[in-house]
Amino acid sequence: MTAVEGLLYGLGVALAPANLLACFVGVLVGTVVGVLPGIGPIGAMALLLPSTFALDPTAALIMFAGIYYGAMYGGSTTSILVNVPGEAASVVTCLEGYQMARRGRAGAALAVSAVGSFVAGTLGVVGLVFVGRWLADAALHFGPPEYFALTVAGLAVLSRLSGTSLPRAALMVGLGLALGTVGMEPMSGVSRFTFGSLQLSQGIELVPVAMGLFGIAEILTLAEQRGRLPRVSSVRLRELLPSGEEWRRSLAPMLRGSALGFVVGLVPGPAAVLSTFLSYAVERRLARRPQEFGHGAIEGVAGPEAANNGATAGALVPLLALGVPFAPATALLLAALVIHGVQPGPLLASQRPDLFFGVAASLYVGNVILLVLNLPLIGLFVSLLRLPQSLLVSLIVLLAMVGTYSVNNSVLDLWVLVVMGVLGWALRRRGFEPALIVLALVLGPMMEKTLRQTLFMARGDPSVVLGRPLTLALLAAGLLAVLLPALRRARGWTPAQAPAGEP
Amino acid sequence: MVHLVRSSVALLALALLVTPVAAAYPERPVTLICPFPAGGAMDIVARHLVEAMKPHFPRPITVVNRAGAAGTIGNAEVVQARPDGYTIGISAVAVLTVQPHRTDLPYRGPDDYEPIIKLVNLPIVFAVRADHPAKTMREFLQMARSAPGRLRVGSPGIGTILHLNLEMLKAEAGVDLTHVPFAGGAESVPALLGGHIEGLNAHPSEVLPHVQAGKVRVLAVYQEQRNPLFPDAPTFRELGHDLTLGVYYLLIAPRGTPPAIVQVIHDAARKALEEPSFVAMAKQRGYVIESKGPEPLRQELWDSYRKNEVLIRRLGLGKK
Repeated sequence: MTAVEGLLYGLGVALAPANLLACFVGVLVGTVVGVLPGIGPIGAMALLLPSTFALDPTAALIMFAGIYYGAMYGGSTTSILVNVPGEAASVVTCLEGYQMARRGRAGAALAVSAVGSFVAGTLGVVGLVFVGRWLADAALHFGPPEYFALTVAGLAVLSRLSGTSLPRAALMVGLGLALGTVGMEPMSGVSRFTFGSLQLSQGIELVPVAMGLFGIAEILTLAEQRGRLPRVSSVRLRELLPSGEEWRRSLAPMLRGSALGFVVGLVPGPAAVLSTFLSYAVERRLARRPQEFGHGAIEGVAGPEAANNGATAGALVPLLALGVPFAPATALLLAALVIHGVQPGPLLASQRPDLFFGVAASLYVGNVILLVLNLPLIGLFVSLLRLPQSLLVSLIVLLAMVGTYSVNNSVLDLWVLVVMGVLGWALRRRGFEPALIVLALVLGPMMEKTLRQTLFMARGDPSVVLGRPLTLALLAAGLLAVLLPALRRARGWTPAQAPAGEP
Repeated sequence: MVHLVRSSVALLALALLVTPVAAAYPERPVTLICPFPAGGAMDIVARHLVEAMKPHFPRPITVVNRAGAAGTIGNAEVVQARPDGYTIGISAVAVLTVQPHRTDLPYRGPDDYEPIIKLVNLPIVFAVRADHPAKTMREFLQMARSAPGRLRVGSPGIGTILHLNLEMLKAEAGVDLTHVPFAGGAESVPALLGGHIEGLNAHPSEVLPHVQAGKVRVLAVYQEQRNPLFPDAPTFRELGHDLTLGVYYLLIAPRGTPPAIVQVIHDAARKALEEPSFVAMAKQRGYVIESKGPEPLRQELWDSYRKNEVLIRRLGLGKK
């Protein structure tokens, strides 16, 4: 079966009534858990796992995949409207999306993020079916040393995204890395900084950190400055939809974000988060008007929102092509199959074409449903901003608290939320970029684990990192990202003075 | 009328006196705590067990995942729960008999909880990439002897039974292999496929699809008998090394749970282990069902506990 035949066959499978229903339920649940901060797609799938006993494996997988990518649609909503990232993959959307909302363009930001998600989901299907197998084999060349180099380069490159000075960025990254060391050491399981608490030995949860640094901090800032949350006076369609110019500026970032997200999606672990940061950095660098970044640049919403959806499609590649889940969310997709006695492997596409192509095609079907579902909701969500500010503020705090508690039912997480809120408020007063803390908290544990594995592989000899071409290239890129701005400054060559046409 | 009320009250009191708990249990749903994430190997077994227990247990049993800290967080929660039979747990041999030697936990030996029933044995196999020059385990060990430390073998983590097996193999066969720990099979299998390690200790279900695709070969099994999924792979015992340590899953209850209640759960679970759906799941994943009652199970746990204490100390993995 060729890829095109397979896709058409898969479309038939995906459109069968039972599978279509499963797809609809999946993306609906996904949208809901995406919009509500706290419980994310992983929690929702874990809760729904027993129900898959009643479904056949194809329908179960289609439903779970729907929850997974559906959550990426909804995830941006609270980031844009009230600066509360519902999950780590939406942190970057706060940076520009919330600023757009403050300028009265909340509707446009939501529309662009929905369409960007759709574009990425659609391209993801193509990638999955046509280059998935090849990419999965390529991903296997990445061992612990490569992943270590990737995280180092990622931190170096992405710490430059905020526009703050190098020492300030390094301070934030260091803080995030330090937070990432709390809990069980990833290799031998030694407890660190837990003060005897079993709860802390699980480490610092990402969701309360992100919601505290952004959502709670925003509210503290408002209280201090007697400022206002974004308002809308009227909800007219013309103001809800992006203008022609906004569309034009969003198209290329969406396409770039989709491709970038798809490839980064193959990185084990925090792929979705990484892809949004990467896309943001790329768009900032390529933008015609980089000075708009930080004040509501639509490119900074379109790119990352496409990227996190692209990443979900990319994350399906190792699962469907190799039968190995690289991320916690795809591990649950695998569970939905294993519970039915289907153990996917490299032969899945030939042994169970209904499953492989059915799920791939359902990705497209689900994205169409999501677009139809989400665009009309934009008006509803935006009109939330018409609530009296006193009510809205209490709602946000309540939402953040309930959302945090729902992840682990842990009171400790609530304290993390509060402490991070105060920290975020203080950092913003001093002009630091709190997004870097989130990034380092995501990448830190992976960096540590892969470094330890690398050293295990080489019996403690760190030079092995430099002995592999891929790691060398990645580390060189990271070094360049850190040194280049400094070099430019030393030569009195700042981007503002760069000759026209220079990127 | 008064007479009727009085006599029923008397009867009720009598009933309460004669059978204090067993008759009443279970009055409400039971929570089964799984100390590993939803979708993992243990979670799959837990959910199949609960499904198979349905016809034999009058109330619903809900699986709740409390993952973290190598299973000790969820286990600690079970051990500290009220011993009324409404909170029980599924656990594995390493969580109960290896981890207590490594960190301070709310439980130590097998007397700190009530074993209910042993469920399944998860065999362990030794696998290499299909294109590896060593076609047999003997050849692999030979290569290891001629180049000490050059061959790297992965495990799903330090202190897992799969890791302990590797250390015992090194000692038994007198070879120097470099151990590389990963975070579970989802990480170690791609590392083997990508050639970042030469060998891997894994559970059958983790490597089976790759064996079928011709990418991976199983060289030997850590079992008493050959594994029907890999009939060509000899046992280590056949090769002259006494390595048969496997993983097993079991149900536990908090210490002090009345024996009558433990028996009720045990009986329902024992019947569930014979349900066709559970048998099919075990066969397909290469698990060996073994139901063993509370007291013999406690004996086996003590046995594992003492053996692992020695091993952990010898490997320098114990408490600092």
